[in-house]
Amino acid sequence: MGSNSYLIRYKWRTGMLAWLLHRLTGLGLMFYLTLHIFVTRGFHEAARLPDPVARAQEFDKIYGVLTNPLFGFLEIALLGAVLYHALNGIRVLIIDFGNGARYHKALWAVMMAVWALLMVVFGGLMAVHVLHKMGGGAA
Amino acid sequence: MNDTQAKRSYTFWWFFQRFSGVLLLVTLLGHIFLVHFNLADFKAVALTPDEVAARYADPLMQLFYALFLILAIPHGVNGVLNAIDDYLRNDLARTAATWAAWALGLAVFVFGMFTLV
Repeated sequence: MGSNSYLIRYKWRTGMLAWLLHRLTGLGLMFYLTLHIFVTRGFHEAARLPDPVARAQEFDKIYGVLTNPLFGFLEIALLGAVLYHALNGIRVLIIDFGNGARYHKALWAVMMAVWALLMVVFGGLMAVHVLHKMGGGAA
Repeated sequence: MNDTQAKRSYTFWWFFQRFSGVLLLVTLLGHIFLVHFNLADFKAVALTPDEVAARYADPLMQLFYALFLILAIPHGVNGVLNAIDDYLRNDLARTAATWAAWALGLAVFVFGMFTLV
């Protein structure tokens, strides 16, 4: 143990920012995965009910909570976290197994451009979906 | 590092993190884009009970999700352990947090597997 300080001194350069975001999104995703599995369990309980009417009712009960617009927008943030972790993960692989350390900053810029593009397209589709339902449209 | 610290093979976990990461790129992104989007009609979709029931009656999907749990949970727990190693300097707190992270991972794994069968 080198230091008695609980505070870690960060150097605000590209590599540190990339690493810090990777850690924050990773911790967030682990938290989400836990919730997701528990909620999914409820879905499967409902989906396994033999009576179709009861099945739809139980399903809608859970879905009624999940389709709250707040969750809809949080899911867009979730997509952002997953895509960041995935794209920066590819960058880490290129750095570790390729020759990426030489151009890791450019690589991060490329990944962020891809992230932005995917967010506009797929985050956009999700936003359309949420707004459509808020407007009373069918799911 | 000192002798009282829980020992992990850092080399093994370093490789595991990359190995599972590559497979998660395919499985996790595949899961999101196949389940939550309709790529043919190019839109985000809501789930239906019949669709969920059909997916979990399919042995191939069960295998896919089992693989998913086996890859994602240790990947996540290992990430949490890295954070614990970095920030928790107190031996007791670190040991407790390490056990808690594994316990959480195990609980999620067991619960996830029960969901599949």
